[in-house]
Amino acid sequence: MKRFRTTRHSSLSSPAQRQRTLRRTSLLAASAAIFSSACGTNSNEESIITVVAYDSFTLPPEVFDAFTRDTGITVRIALGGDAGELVAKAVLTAGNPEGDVLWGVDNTLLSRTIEANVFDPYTSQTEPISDRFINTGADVVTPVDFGHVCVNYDIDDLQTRGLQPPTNFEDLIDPAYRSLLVVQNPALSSPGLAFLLATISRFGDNWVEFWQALVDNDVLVVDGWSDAYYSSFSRYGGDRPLVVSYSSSPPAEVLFADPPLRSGAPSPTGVVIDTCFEQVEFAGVLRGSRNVANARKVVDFMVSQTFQEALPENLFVYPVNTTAVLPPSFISYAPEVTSPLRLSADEIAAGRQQWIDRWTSLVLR
Amino acid sequence: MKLRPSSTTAIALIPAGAIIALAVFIPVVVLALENIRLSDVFSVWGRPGVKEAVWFSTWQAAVSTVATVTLGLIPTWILSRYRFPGRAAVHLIMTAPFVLPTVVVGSAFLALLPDALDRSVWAIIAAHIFFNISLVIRTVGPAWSLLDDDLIHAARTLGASPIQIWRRIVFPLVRPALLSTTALVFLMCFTSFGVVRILGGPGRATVDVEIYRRAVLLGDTSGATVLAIVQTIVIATTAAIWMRRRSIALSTAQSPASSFHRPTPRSLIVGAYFSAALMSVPLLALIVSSLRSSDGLSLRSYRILFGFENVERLPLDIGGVVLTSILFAIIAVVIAVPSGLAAAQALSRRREGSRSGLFHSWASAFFIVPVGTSAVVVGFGILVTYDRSPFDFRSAWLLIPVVHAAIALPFVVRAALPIVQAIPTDLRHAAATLGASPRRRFFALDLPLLRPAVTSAVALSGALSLGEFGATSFLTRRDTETLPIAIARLLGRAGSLSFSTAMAAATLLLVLTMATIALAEVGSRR
Repeated sequence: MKRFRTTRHSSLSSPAQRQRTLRRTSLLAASAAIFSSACGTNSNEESIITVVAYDSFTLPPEVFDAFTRDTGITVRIALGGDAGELVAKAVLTAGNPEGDVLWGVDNTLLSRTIEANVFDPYTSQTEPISDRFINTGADVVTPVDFGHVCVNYDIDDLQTRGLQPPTNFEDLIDPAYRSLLVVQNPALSSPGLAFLLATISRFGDNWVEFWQALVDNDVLVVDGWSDAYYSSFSRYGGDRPLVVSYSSSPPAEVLFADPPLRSGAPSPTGVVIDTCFEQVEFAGVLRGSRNVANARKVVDFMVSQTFQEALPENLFVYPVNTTAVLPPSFISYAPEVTSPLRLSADEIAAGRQQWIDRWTSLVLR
Repeated sequence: MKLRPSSTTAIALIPAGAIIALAVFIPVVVLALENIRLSDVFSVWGRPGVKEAVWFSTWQAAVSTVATVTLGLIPTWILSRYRFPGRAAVHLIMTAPFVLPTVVVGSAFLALLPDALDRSVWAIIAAHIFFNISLVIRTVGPAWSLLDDDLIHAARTLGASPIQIWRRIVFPLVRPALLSTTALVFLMCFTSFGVVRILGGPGRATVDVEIYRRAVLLGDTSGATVLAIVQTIVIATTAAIWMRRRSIALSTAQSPASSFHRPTPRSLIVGAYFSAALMSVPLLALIVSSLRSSDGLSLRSYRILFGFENVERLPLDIGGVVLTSILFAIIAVVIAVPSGLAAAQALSRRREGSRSGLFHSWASAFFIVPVGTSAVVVGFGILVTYDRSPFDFRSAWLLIPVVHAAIALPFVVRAALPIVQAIPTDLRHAAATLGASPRRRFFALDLPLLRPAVTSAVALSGALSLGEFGATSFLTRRDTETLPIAIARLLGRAGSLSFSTAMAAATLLLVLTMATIALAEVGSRR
C-alpha cells in the first residue's frame, strides 16, 4: 500500500512533470481569471453598484471611499459617451441596463428617458434640496446639480478691439459685434441646444427673427463645445471673442491657467449673465437594476453634502444641496446668476424637435 | 495541379470571419432585428438631411480619393523603390497620420488653414489626403517593392520609353494593389466622421454623421440602422465587384531589399523630403500647441502628463491609460495579424479555382464590412446583442481590443493580399515536389516572403487600435480608458492646462504610434 502510494506519487510528480502541471494549472487559473474579469462575473456582485455617467464625470474615486466604508457598497463608474450618447444608450438598453444608476441626464433630454421608461422611479428625499429644483424630476429621477449655459467673452481680445463686453442678447445682433460670436449646433451639442432654448425662453415665438439677425450678423456655428472653445474662441487661437460656454468656465480658466494667475487677478474670460440658461442634471435608478435598494443608497449619497461639495471644481456644476458650500474659486470667479432663463422639461419635450428642425432650415440651409 | 482543396481555403477564412462576425456583423443584425420598423426602410430616405448626406458623402469621397491616390503614388514609388538617407524617417512621418485621432488632426488643421478655407469642403479634402496617403504607401508600397527590376531593365534594353514602361509594366503589376487601395481610400472618405464634424462646419454631413445624428440625437434608431445597413451592403458589394476586376500579379518573388541597390536620383530624394515636410506640418502644429502657454512656450503640460507636477482637479492617470492602450493594441495585433494573414492567403488563391470565385467574392466583400459600418451602430449593436448572461459582455474589457481587431482586419487583409498574391505558386509547388512538408514550406518559403505583409499588418492593426475612438467610446469603463478617450475628456473642459495637457497626450499618442510602426519595421527586418 505504502509502496503503491510512493510509486504513484513519484510517477506523477517528477520535478519536470510537477513543473508542467504547475504551469498548466497556473495557466488555467490565469486564463480563468482573465476570462472572469473580462466577463465581469464577480461573486460579490450585490455590493457593487455601477454608475453610468457621461465622459466628463471626472470625480476622484476617493469621493466614494467614505460611502463604501459606511455601507459596504463599492461604486464602479461606466462611461457612456457625451450627454447625448449617454441618453441614447440608456434608451436602447431600457429594462436591461448597463449599470444600476445613471448620472447626468439633463432637463433638455429628460423627456426622452421618461418616454422610453428608462428609470425605476425614485426621488431621493434624504437631503435638503434647493426649493426651485424640487419636483423638477417628474417623480422619476432626483436633481443632482445645475449649471448655466451662457455667452462667454475673452476680456483681452475685446479690449484690443476697443469693445465693451456685451451685456444682453440684443448686443449680439448689434453690427458692432459682427462676426464675433461662435455657437454650437443645437442638433448635435448640449450647450448648443441650451443656447437655442435660452433664445426661445427670452423671445418666445420671435426667436426665429432673433436668429435671422444673428445669421445676418455672421454668427459662426460649429459642431460641439470643444470645437467652439478650443478652435474658434480667440483665447485658444480662433478669431471669435464670444463663445457659448458655461458660467463655470471662468473658474476653470483660473484653476487651469498656465502659468498660474497671480492671486486676486481676474479670470481672463467673463460671462454675459443675461444670456444664461439653466441646465439641471438628474440621477436615477435604472429600471432592471438587480439591486434597487443599494442603487437608491447611491443616489441618496449623490445629493449628500460631501458629494455635492466635490462637484463644483470637478464637474464645474453647482450643488443642489442647500448645505453644500461653494469652493473659493467659484465664489470669486463664477458670476452669480440670479434669474437664469428657464424652460420646463415638459415645454422642452413638446417643442425640441420642431425647434431644432426650424433652426436647422433657418441657419444651416 | 491544385495542392490544397478549397475547403482548406475556407477554413483559413474562419478566424478572421468569426471576429468580424462577432464584433460587427452579428451585433448590427441583432440591432436591426430588434429596432427597425419596416416602414422606415423606405421612408427614411425622404427625411430631412438624408439625401443631402448621401450626395455629399459620394462627391467629396470621389474628389478626396482621386487627390489622395494621385498625390500618394509619387512618395509611394520613391519610398518603395529607393533607399536613401532618412528614408525610414520619411516613411514614418508619412504613415503615422492615418491613425491619429481626428479630434487632434482636426484642431491642428483648423489652426493651420487660412481663414478662407476654414470649415469649407477643401479643408475636409485636405485632411482626407493627409489621413489616407499613408494607406496608399502601406498597401501599394509593398507590392511595388516586390516589382522585379529585371523586367524594367529588359524593357529599357528593348527600347521602351519611361512612359511605356510605366504603362505596360509598372502599372499593370501594381494594379491589384492600386484598385484595392483606391477602394479603401474611397471607403474611408465616404464614411468619414470626425474630420467632417470638426472641419466641415455644421451644414455638411456624410452618411455616417447623419446616422449618428439620427441614432444619438433624434432617437431615430430605426432610421439610423436602416441607413447603416444599406450603406454597409452597398459598400461591401461595390468593393467586391471592384476588386474582382483586378488582373493577375505577374511579379516574381524576390527579397524586397534587393531592389534597393540602385542609386536614387537627387530629385526623388528632394521630392521625398518635401512630402515628408508637408505631412509633418500638422504634426508640428500639434506639438507646438502642447507647448503653448500664455507666456510663451513651456513644458508644463508634459510635467503634468507624466505626473511630475500635480494639478488638483486635473485627473489623469497617464500610466494606467498608456498601459491600457498598449495592452489593447497588443491584443488587437495578436488577434488581427495571424487571422488577417490567413484570410489573405485564402483569398489570394481564388484564381486557381474559378468555381469558387463567387464564394471568394462574397468572402472578400465580408472583409470590408467593418470599414463600411458606422461606429455608433456597431456600439449600439454590441449593447443590445451581448446583454444577457452568460453573454453579457458589455462590461468586458476584452471586447474593446476584439472590436479593434475587427476594425483593423480589412486593412490587414488588403495590405497583405497583393504581397501574398505576388508569391508564385510554382515555388511552393517546387518545394512540395522536393518533399517539403506544409509546415516547412510555410516557415522556409511563405514566411520570409510574407515579411512586408507582416510589417504592414502589425503596424496597421497596432496603430489603429491605439488611435481608435468611435467604437471605444461606447464600450469604455473608467478603468479601461485609452489615450484617445482621455484626450477627448481633457478637451471637454475649459482652461489652458486642460488644452495643453490634451495636446501633450495627443503628442504622446503620436509618438506611441510611430514607435509601433518603427518596431514593426525593425522586427520584420531581423
